[in-house]
Amino acid sequence: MRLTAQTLLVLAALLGDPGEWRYGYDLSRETGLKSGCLYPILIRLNERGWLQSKWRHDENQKPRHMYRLTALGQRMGRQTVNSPKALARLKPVAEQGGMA
Amino acid sequence: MKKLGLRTRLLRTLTTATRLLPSDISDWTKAMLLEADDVSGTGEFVSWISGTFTTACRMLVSNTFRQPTAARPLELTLSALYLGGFASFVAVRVSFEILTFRIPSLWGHAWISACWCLALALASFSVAIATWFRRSYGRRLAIAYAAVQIVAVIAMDGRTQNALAILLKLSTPTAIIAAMCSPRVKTAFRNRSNDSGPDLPAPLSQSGS
Repeated sequence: MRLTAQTLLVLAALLGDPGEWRYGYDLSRETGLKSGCLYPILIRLNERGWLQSKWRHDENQKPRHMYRLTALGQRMGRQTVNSPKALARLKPVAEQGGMA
Repeated sequence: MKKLGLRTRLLRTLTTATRLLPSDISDWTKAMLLEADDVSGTGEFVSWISGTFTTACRMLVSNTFRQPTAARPLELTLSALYLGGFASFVAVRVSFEILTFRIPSLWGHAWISACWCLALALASFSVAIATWFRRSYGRRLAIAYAAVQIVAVIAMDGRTQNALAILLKLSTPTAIIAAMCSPRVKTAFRNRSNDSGPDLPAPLSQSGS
C-alpha cells in the first residue's frame, strides 16, 4: 500500500508511543499538519481499522476525542514507516520542519 | 456572570450545529471543533475552522457518493462546493422568481449579470467534476456530461420568467449527477467503456493535504 508523506508523518507520530492515547491538536503540533490535512488522515486510518478512537470525559476538563493505533495499525505502521521508500519520503518533510 | 468571548460563542454555536449532521460526521466534526479551543492566534484558529469545514464537506460528499473519505480530496471538495453552490443558486433563483412574479419591476440587468457570473462559476466547477468523471467513467461519458452542462448553463439566460421551466433546466444536470453517482450506473459504464481513464488508486494513496 502506497502512503503519502503526511500519512507517514501521522503514523510515525502515533508510533512514538503506541500505547498512549493522543488528541488531534497534540498530533497537529507534533507533525506540523493543519486540521484539514490531519483529520482526513485520522478518519481514513480509523475506517481501515489501523486507528481506534474514544471520547475522554474527565472532570474539570473539556471532552476530547482520543486516538491510538490498533495492533494492526502498529504492525502495518512499523512496516511502512521503516521501509526505505518511506524514509526517503519522510526526510524532506522532516527537514522542512513538518515533524516537530 | 462570566462573559463569553466571540471565539467561545462561535465554537459553541458550531458544536451545537453539528447535531444536524449524520452521527459519524458529527462526531469527527465535534472533535475538531473542541480542539479548536486550544489553538492560539486568530490566523491559526481561522485555518483550523476552515479545515474543519472542509473535512465535514468531504465526509458529507463521501457519504453521498459512497466513496472512502477523502479518497479524492480535490475532486470531493470541489464537488461539495459545486453542489452547495448549485443548491444555493436554485434557492435564490426560485425565491427571486416568486418575488418577480409579485413585483415585476425587480427584474433587471443587474440580476441577469449576476446570473451569468454564477453560471461561469458553475461552469468552472463543472470542469473539475468532468475531470473526476473522466477518471471514474471514461472519456466519452465525461464529454457528454460536459456538453450537457454547457447547454444547461447557456440555457440559464436569465430571461425565462417561468419558475417551472427554470426548475426543469436546473434539474437536468442534477439528475445526470445523481444518475452518474449511482454505483449501478458507474459499474455498468465502467464495464462498457473501452477508453476509460486511469483506474482508481489505492484509497490511502491520496492524502488530504
